[in-house]
Order: sequence, then structure tokens, then C-alpha cells
Amino acid sequence: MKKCLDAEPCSIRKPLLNKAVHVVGAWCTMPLPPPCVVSSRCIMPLQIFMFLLLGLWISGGNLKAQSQIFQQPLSQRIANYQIKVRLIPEQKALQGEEILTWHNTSPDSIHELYFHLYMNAFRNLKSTFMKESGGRLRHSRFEHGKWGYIEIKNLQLIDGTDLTSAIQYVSPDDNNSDDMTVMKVPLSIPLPPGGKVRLRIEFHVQLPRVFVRAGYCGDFFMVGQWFPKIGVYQNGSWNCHQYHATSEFFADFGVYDVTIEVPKSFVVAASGVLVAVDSTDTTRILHYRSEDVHDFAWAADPLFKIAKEFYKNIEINLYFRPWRKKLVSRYLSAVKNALNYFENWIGPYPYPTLTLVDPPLAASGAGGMEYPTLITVGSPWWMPKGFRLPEMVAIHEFGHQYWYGMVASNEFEEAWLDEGINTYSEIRILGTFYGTRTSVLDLWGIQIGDDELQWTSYMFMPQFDPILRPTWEYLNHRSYGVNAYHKPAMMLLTLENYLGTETMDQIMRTYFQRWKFKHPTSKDFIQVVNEVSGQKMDWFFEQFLYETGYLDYAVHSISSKRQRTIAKIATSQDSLQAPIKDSTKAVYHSEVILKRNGEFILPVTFEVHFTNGNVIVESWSGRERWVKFEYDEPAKIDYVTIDPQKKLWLDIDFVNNTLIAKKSIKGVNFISLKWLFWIQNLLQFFAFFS
Amino acid sequence: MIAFKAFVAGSLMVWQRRKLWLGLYVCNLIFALVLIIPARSLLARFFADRLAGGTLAEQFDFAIWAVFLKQNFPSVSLLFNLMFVLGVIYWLFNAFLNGGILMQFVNPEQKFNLGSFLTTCCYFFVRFFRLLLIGLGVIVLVFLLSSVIFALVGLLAGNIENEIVKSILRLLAAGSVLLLLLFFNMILDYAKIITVVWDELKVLKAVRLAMGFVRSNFGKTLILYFGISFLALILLVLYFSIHGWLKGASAMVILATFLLQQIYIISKLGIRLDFFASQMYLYRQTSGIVTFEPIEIINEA
Repeated sequence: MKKCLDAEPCSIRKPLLNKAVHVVGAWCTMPLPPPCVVSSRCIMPLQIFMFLLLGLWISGGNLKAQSQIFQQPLSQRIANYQIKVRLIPEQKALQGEEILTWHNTSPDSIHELYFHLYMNAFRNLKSTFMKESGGRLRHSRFEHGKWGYIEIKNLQLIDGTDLTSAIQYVSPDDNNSDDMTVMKVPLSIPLPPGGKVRLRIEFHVQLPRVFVRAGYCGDFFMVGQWFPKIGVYQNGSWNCHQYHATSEFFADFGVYDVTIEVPKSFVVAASGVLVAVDSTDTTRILHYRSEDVHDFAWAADPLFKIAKEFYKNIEINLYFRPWRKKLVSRYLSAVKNALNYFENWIGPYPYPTLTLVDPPLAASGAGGMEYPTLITVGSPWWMPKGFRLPEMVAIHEFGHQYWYGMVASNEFEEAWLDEGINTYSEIRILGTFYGTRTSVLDLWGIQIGDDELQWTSYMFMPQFDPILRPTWEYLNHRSYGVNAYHKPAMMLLTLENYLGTETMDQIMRTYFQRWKFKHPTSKDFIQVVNEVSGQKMDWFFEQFLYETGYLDYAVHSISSKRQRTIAKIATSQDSLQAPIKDSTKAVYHSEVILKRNGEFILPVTFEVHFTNGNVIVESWSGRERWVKFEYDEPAKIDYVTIDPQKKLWLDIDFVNNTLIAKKSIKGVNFISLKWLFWIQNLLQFFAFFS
Repeated sequence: MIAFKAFVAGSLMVWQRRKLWLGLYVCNLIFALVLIIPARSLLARFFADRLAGGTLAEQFDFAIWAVFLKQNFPSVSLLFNLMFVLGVIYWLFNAFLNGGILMQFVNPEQKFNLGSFLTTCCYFFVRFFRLLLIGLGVIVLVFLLSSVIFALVGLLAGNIENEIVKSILRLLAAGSVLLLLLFFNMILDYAKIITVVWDELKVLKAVRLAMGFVRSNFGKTLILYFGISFLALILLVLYFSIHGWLKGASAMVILATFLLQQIYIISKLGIRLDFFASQMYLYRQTSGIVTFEPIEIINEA
């Protein structure tokens, strides 16, 4: 594998599939095609195109061969952006212009457009985001005074019709009149079904000090959620939610043509493919193209070093500060493992590049985030190898290339479809490559698996909210975490154990293949599950997706009583064998009572272990609140275990899944001795300062 | 050289006072048992009839501990509070014992007598309690000072991009706070020694004299104190190295683990006594006090 460490990008991406001649350069000077609102049937005359080409050439604009990434579009390409942006480091600001081409693929005439202005979440303390977060989120704290915002300087149709004065700020989720994260733009002429609209938007972004996801920290810039971004027109209305503390994003696929101008000393990491680089004496202009994606993010830092590796034809570039070099091999190896796993599991990663950004520790709020073809990782530089935080973050964020990046579900409304499925994927990948029991921690004799970690986070708060709920309606950020990440992951692990790994793999494959580059909902996922498994699994999802109950089976009691003495014990195992002449052998009548503590129901197996070594395996539908099983066996019950193979990850208490007939204090004594030792030490510590 | 000599002499004195050593260990164990008995009962109530107890004996299980914590949070929190109270009582108890312990090293030839030991403890307790309060004040002072140190480091680190340098700076700050704490603790050790040796009634004067002594014997006192501290560190490393070999939960392993742990605790108590004995020896040697007239405490009492 090729690998290089350099302060400069190793190479500009060569054209990959089909080359197409395209106009690149200072597009803001580019004459624009005529109709502001055009029908899809409208074709630009060849003469005009040639004229424009000539005009550009004369005006000094650079003409470059631009690589078209995919031979055939992978998505509908509804929202397409041409953006030119300039970073002004001393002001921590961006100056940008965007041309948006939006296709109306709906059967409706569109009278208004909705845009996300995410950066306005950091405008003041009155925004919905700041109110909900209280200025603290993702282990990060907002630095007061270091505000961020986006201003629309000019918004016009491509023919020059000005719409700036028509801009309205709306708050569809909470009617917060101080929130300016959603902008409504009425159109003078309705856009017919199948039509396209082209808008030119000039904007200015003041970046906040990195708090959540984006911003600056010294000379490090993480530029995400930075441009006016059109909402999704879906089912007869605009789906364009405000930026919430507990929400992520939702957008349509398209092509992004982005030109970034930075001071020459800056190294840029960005989504997509770098197709051209231009330089002046003081600046560097980089042109990126990203196809069939629904967002574009970039980072810039004069201190960035680059580590490059390949996974098959995929170029992986990791941008990091020099002193974080220790983590480079860990991040790269983790994403390569993830690429390999996903490729074999559900399908190959189709993009030619994958960019990783490792933000400085002081900008940790920017770490652990996903954008199409670009992810941010993050970990303290000193993280010991036995603590797999860097691997966990890299694998999780890479997983989002599938669950969010390609399968673009609505993160505002059904967060579990990306975060939950992705956490489930993360558990599987970490378990495969680092051992199920040691996938998170394997240090100083302490081992923790990712499944256990996720389960623990879930079981402390299993029933405040249902999984399916708009993210900002969850009780709090913790409940969002439980219901978007942990509980759905446990639900899918349970489903896998219920249906079998092979069926589950087929489900995930089918779901991905069917819904990549589209916007599936929970119902679509359930439909795939039903179809592939050949079972109607609605009962499963109705409980775990829509309800707030919990699952908890327990062995309530066990008892064995000597009943009578017989000459021959007939059991299922020995009934066909010769009678045993043992007149002294006793029969014990044993009772086992199993109880369902929670509201949720799942069939479960249990094992009854007898003192003579016999084991009876039975199953229980779980429908009754409690159930009694009786046995006449030649031995007493030793212990009973519900769900012995730990298949029901949704069970919030594994400890009460077993009951021993004869109390055993060996373990208790051992733990007590350990505790005794630590208490003795602690007391000595006190004594030392006496 | 004198520091090493003091350490050897101190260690011999500790060995001669094995009964005292054992007594301190028993006290430590009894105090710990006060807490471990309810803790064990809590564990037994939760785990004795579940297989999870056996699992925990075999290996660390994050999920099982999480369930335990979730379902016993009030009890666990109560145990933590109890631990704090017990810690404070043990702290006071040790302040009570310190006078008696130090007197044992003033005249190491004398046989250990529990009655006279306890009388000495009582005799010095009021003064040692005052020293304890001064010590508390010093701890508070060091922590206040530490916030200044960390603020300074924060200011310095604010302009540094390199995270490794930042971490080293913070580590140095934490290290300096710890050293400062140990340094003041050493001065208070000498204040206790001076109080016992000279039957000094004014503890502030004892502290002042101790500071003077440390200032004039800076190298020797530091070498001795941090030398013994280093020994404690070696002991810790040794303990964890051996502990790593003990795997499983058979009766033999449990027994071996228990013995190892108790040997470690006893050794640590020995080191604590060694601090007193060696520093006492150093003080006597450098102050020219070779022999002592034992204080007739019983008569005074």
C-alpha cells in the first residue's frame, strides 16, 4: 500500500472514469444561462454555450479538464451546488457565492423554497440550538462572544430577479421567533413539476469558536453546515427543520462543485475529489467536485500533515497535526478494516476518495462527525493501544458513509435509521477486528466490548422516550443518545439473534441496495425485514420502535422437593434403555417460575440445570406475566438461566436471568476481599496526611 | 550517606517494633472491616443466588457491575459516604497514635508496652490534633496554590499548539503540586518529631523549628523522604507485577491474592513507620542528640 506523510497533498486526483470537458475557474464571473425558472425540457443552445466558453477564456478564467466522477449518476441529483468560497482567517470568516440548481421532482408546483442556515444556531443565546443545549454539548462548551452566523448578502434568481427582500425566517418546529436557522424564499413564479430553479446566493459566514461540529480554533478551521442549503421537498411539503441541539441533518443528493480560496500557507481537506489547484502569490485556490452526495464540508489548517493510503482504488487521506502522528496508523487501519467489512457485508464504497480530519484536542467538538466522503475523527494523542477510542470513532464515522451518506434517512425525524444502524454496524466491525469482549477496552486486565458499552448506556435509561420521535422532542440529550444510538443498536443485535446472522446480513444488504441514494423511512426498513425474513415482524418493531416499555425477564424462583422413591426413573433420555434396578433412587418435583418484569414481549429460551448434570432446554413465549414449569427428575435443580446465550440484548437486566438453588458466596467473598484491599489502601492514604 | 544510614537504622527500629507494626495493621484491618461487612452483605444480597457472582470472581464484567450500580445506587452511595466518615475517623485515630508511635522510636531499646503507648498517645494528642489542623490548612493552601499553578500553565499552554508539550506542562504542574504536598507533609513529620523529642508545647514553634531543620538539612531530608517514597513506588509496582500472575478464581488463587494483598498492606504500613523512624534517626544524628532521657509521661499524667 502506498503511504506518504507530507504537508502537501500528494497529488491532484486524476480523472477517474469518464473525462468531460467542463468550465472551471472563477465561475462568479461566468455568464449565466438565461431562464431563472426553466423547465427540464429547456436546452441551452450550443451557440450560447460556445459563447460563454469563449467569454471565459478571454476574461482570463482558467479552463481545466474536470473529472466527472461517475459515468452514470447514482442519485436523482436534485440539489446541485456551485460554490466559490474564500476563507478569511484573520476574521474567522468565509465569503461565499453559490449557484444552486434545484430540480422539482415532485408532482406539485412549488411556490416557495426553504433553506437551512445552520450557522445561525450560534448567532446568540436565543437560537433554538443554544436554548436546547445550554451552551454545552458533545463534551464541549460554547465560548461566549465567539458567535457564529450566516448572512445572506444577496439572493436572486439567475436572471437577476432579486429575492433578498422576500426572505423570511421561519421556525417550523418550535415557533421560536429568535431562531434564524430556516429561511423561506417565496418564488415570484411557481416552479412546475419537473422544472428547475437556479439561484445565485451571496453569503457571509462568521465562524464560531469550535463548539459543536464546526468553527475555528486558532488556525484550525472546520467548515461544516456553512452554506445556504435547500431543504427536502417531500410528500407535498418542505422538510426543513431548525437546527436542534439533538439533531443532525437531512438533504437531497446532488453534485457539488466547490472552489475554496485560502491563504497559501493553509492545507485544505475537503469532501470529494480535488480536480484542480491554482495559486497566486498569496493564495491557493482548490477546486473540488463531489457527486451524488448531500453535503460538502472542508477543513483548513496551516499545520496539517497528510497521510495517504489506498484501499483498492479508494484514496484515503488523513489530515492531522504533526504531534498527533502516533494515532495515524490506528485511524487508517481502522477505516481500512471498515471499508473491507462494509464491502463484504453490504456493498462497496463507491466514491474514489475518503478524507479523514483529525482536529486538535482543543477543537474536540469538531471531532467524531460525518460528512459525505469526509469524516472527522478524534482522540487524545496519548490514548493507549488497549483503549480503542480512535478506532471506535473512525469506524463509527466511516459507517455513516453508508448510513447517512448513501442511505440518506431523515436524521431530524428518524435518527435511529442512521445512528442506530450505524452503531450496530460499529459493534459488528469492532467485534470482528478487535474481539467481541475487547473491542473497546483491553487494558490492565479490564475488558469491555462495544456491545456491553452500548447496552450499559441503554439500560440506565430504557423507557423515557420511544425510539421513533423527532430528535428535539426527546427528554434530553441523554435520551437522544439512548434512543438514537444505543437502544436501536441493541434492538438490531436482538433481531439478528432472533432471525439469524445470515438472514440479518441479507436484510442489511437488501436495505442498502434498495435504498442507497434515497431517503428511506422506518417503514421501509421494516418492509425489508419482513420481506427478507419471510416473517411478519411488525410486532417486534411496534414494541421497540414506537413504545416506551422495556424488556426484562427474570427467574423468579426455583424449588425442588423429594417426592417418592421408585425403582426406575424414566426420562426422555433413558426410556428406551434397560431398566435400572435402583430402588433407592428418588424423584424430585421441581418448579421454576419465570417472570416478565417489563411490558415488552419476546420469545426466549431457558435452561434448567440439574445437580446430576442434566440440562433441559425450553422456550417461553413471554406472553404471560409469569409462568411456572414443573419437572419430575431424579435430581434437584442446580440453577436456571433465561436466555443463556445472551441473545436478547434488549433485556435491561442480565443478572436476574439466572437463579441458583444453593447460594454461592465464592464470588461474593472474592469481590469483598478485593474491596477490602482497596479500602485498606484508602485508609492508609488518609493516615499518611495525619 | 547519612540519609541512607538513617533509612537502615530506621528500618531496624521498625523491625524491633514488630508488635506496634502488627497492631497498626490490625487497626487498619478492623477499620476496613467496618465498611466491608455491610458492603459484603450488599454484594451477597445481590449476587449470592445469581451466576453473575461467580462470573465476577473470574473476570471483570462491565455489564454486571453496571446492573449492580443501577439497582443499588442508594446503598452504594451510602457506602461511599460511610467510607468518607470512616476515613476522617481513621485520620483522627492516626493523629492520636502518632505521638505514641514516635515515642517508640525515641527509645527503641525499651520494650513495647501497650499501656504506656496509649498513655503517650493521649499525652500528645491535643498537640498532634493541632498539627493535624495545621496540616489541613497546608493541604488547603497547596490546593489553592495548585489552582494558581494550573492557571499559569493554562496561560502558558494557551499559546502552545503542540498537544504533547501542553500535556507535559500539565503533568509537570500536577507533579509539582504533589511534590509540594509531600514536601509540606515532610516538614510536618519533623514538627511531630520535634514535639515528641523536646516535649514542645507550642506546635507553631515546632513547625517553625521543623522548617529551620529542613532548611539547614535540605538535601539530607529530601533524599531520605523521597527515597522512602520511591521505595513505596517500587512496592506498588512489585505488587501489581505479582498480582498479574494470579488469574482465575480457584480457592488457591483467592487465598494467594488475599495473602499478597495483606503483605502489601503490611509492607506499606512498615514504610509509613519507616518514615517516622528514619526521620527521627536523621533528626537525632544531625541535631547531635544521640541519647535521650525518656519523658516521664506517666508521672506527669
